[in-house]
Amino acid sequence: MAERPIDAELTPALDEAELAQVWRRVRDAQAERRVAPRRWRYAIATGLAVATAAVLLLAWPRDHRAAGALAGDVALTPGAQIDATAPRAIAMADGSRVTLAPEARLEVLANEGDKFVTAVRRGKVGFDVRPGGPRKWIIETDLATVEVVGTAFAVERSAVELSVTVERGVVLVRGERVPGRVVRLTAGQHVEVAAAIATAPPPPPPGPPMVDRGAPPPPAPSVDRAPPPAPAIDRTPLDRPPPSVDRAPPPAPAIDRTPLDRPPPVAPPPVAPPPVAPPVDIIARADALVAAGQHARAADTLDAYLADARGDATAGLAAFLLGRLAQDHLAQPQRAADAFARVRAIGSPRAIQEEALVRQARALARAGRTVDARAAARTYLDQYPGGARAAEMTALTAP
Amino acid sequence: MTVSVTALRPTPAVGSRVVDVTGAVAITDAELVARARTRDAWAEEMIYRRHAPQVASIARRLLRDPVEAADVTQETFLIAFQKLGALAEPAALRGWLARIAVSRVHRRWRWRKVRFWAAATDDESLADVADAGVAPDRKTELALIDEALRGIPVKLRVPWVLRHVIGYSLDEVATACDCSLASVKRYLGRAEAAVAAHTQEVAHG
Repeated sequence: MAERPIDAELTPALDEAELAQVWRRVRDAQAERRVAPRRWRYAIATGLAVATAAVLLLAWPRDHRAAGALAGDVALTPGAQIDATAPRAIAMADGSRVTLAPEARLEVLANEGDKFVTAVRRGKVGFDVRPGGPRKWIIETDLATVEVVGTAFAVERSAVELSVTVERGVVLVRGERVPGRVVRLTAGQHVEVAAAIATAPPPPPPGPPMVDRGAPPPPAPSVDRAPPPAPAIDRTPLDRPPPSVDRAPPPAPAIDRTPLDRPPPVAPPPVAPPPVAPPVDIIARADALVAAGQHARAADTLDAYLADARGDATAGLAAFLLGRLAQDHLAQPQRAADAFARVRAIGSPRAIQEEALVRQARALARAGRTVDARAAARTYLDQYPGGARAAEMTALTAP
Repeated sequence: MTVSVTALRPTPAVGSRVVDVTGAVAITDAELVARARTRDAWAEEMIYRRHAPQVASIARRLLRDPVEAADVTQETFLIAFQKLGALAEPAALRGWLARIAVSRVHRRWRWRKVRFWAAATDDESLADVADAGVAPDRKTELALIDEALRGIPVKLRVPWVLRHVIGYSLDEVATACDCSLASVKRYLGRAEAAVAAHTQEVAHG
């Protein structure tokens, strides 16, 4: 039995055709396997790319929040005021750069991981914002708001106008006096937004020594309480809200779309007729009083303005400033809470709404209105669930 | 079809079909393995042509199913060409291929146990596949052997089939079963006793 295998007595396990077919399958499978490693490489590369994108997508907002407040070579905490008596440059930790011309004043309104809000109170300030940075930069003025992510531009608030000039990138300028309420500026363009003309007394001179600290405080602006005499020109005081569309139309601002290398326009802003008196700026006036250490009077001035003010960005800024004065300097939490509630009721400027809500909740808690404080905190958590103050607000909601 | 080796070598087209290369017999397995390791398509085909019939026989006689036998043959050569570099002794290619085939057969058996609800296809007996020229009494004998094989454990059945059906040497059986020569002898002894007992039992009623 062992000498001759049984297999020799059996039909072949696979005939010639079947063997040939199996061989073809072997060759095909071999070819497939030789390609497979490349496919694996593609699959792995694709997987890695998808994973990297997912990680970036998930980490990006966290990174922004983790970025925290923007640091610079000067204090940039909310409320910080930066004055320049000579040309001054501020280098930011993210590579951005802010340049203040002499007599310019900048105030930090909010400084968080995802936004940096400043107010140009006066003078010319240049911004060179690092493109692609984590923060949205918002520059507030009493006449317009400039929104930017990465660009270089200059904001100049003179006595009679606001000028925004873009060197690089794109900015959005919003404001009631801005043509069409919003304008998009690209490199080489600039917009001039004229202030309303008022016959009120000229504002105090710029700079900290604007107001003599030893001298009696300047009188409360009469324009806030009594209408100015009726001149032939636009009588709207500057510290009043800008004229609405149903009233006299605002002075026509001009958008200069000529390249920057041409000499800047030296002509006055296209406001007709030309100003006969410097405008009165409620924010600048309040700033001057604050700089003089007269916080209570500054608050009263703002209060008086707000009594008749319309709900525009200037009123929002004024109410915010009032709230901060009451909260930080006057120990009047109830007054602060009311002021911040006013900011939120006005809803403008948008950039300070989150900070206003936080401060309102804090002021209410400080005033002993715990139920209202919790409600405000809950509102914050609803509106800004991932907000920078979420932890603090969550603590406030606890009984 | 008969083609000389010299005619085949410069003709890559033969890679797509199986040919009977009588001239290649003179080339040893070791030489073929050495060339196949360099992805020489001609050498791979020679290996297949030389050993595929026996690999197919191992698969079919153990699994008793022609379709699965073809699949196992394909798998065996695919694995062999992929792992040819790991073959320590190229001259032992035949036993090494048998070991791969047996391992694939065991894998199929395990799957059959898992898929117990599927229709079993291992009802093909040795007598069924006997050549037309086989005498009837030999067919009866093959049927008896087949019945005996069904009744013994796999561990004993595989060496018996490799030794007596395929015709492998004891060393080749040991290699294919991945066990020692002594173990093979022991298994074969027990299997042969079982087969003999069964045939005698049937013969004596």
